[in-house]
Amino acid sequence: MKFFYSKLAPPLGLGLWVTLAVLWANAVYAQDQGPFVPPTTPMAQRNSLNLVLNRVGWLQNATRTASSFAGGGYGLLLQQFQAVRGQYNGLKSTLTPQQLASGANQLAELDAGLDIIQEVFTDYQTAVANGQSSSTASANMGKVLNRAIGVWAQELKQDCRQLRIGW
Amino acid sequence: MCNMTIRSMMQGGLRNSCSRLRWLAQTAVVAALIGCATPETGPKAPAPRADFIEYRQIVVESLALMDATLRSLAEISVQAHRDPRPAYDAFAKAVHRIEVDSIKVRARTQAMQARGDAYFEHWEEYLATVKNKQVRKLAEEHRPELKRSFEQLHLASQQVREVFRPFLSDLQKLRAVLEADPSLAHIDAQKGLILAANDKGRQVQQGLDRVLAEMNSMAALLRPPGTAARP
Repeated sequence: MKFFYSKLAPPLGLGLWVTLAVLWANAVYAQDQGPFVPPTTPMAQRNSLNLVLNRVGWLQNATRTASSFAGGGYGLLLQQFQAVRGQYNGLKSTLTPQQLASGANQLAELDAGLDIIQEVFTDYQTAVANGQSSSTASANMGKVLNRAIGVWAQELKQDCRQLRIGW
Repeated sequence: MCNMTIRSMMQGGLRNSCSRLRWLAQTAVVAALIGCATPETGPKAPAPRADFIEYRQIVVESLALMDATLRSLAEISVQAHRDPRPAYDAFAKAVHRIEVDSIKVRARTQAMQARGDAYFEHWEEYLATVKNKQVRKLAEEHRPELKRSFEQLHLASQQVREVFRPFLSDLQKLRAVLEADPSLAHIDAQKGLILAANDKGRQVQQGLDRVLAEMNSMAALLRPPGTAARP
């Protein structure tokens, strides 16, 4: 019996070591699989800013053509607007902690600006409910969205210059 | 003649070299000034934004915008018994303008609400980095008064924020209702809405006036003695 245990001991010890190694490897792998952290290099910031501005351009183009779509292009404009918001959130994730701290007011204003601009979609629905023709309501929505996102993009560019985003 | 030519050439050369020297001197002065204007925080660090100056400018512009909008609203009632269509068109344009041009002030007031005291701490940071030593000293000396003004400003901005949205909704509703037929009968039927919009508009103006008054008193606290007040 003693012989049996002494023969079994080395493989048991080895098994324990293997198990520990596998657990450690799993832990390391799990750490590597954490949330994706985008780079905060100036180049990443420049690229991200350009993507936001491209999205703004697409949205502005969509506001000019939306009236030819069904429902005044409401769905299309909303989708394009959400794309701008998504890309802007992407830009924020490339900022350094220092930029986030010193630009906290500006970023809060840009966030608020998008929230305010988004109100045009509810305004459109309210206007139609109040008896305005959907074509006029849609034209109003397009005009406001076009100019408002232009104002927002100007602010964004100014803030990026001041916060040295992409420098 | 030859001597004259040589002399004139020499004079010309001297003049050229003098103008070049002057140009070099000017360049050196400009370079020195640019060097002085570089933020002390280093080339990569972002300098604090001149929040105080910008916000005051935005508030002044918003007051003018509100004034124009309320005038166009009043014109609808004034012109109702004549031909109200031009007054309506002007009103619709004014509503479009305020929908867009008010975004900056609304975004600022919303950000102030969202960030609370942290928003104003940034202003203090800005005042602490102003180049003018006297202003920096005054900001330090009047810190409690400035803090009180910040609080009042915060409250007034909150008032603007709370009333602005219902005011804009009233204007948009009026625009929608009168669009098809801005006749006397229709305008008369919307009298209540016109009065309500006007009332809310006055509240927005009062809020903006309070914001401006607080900013002016802050500016007075920070003005070095012996300097003229800005208009």
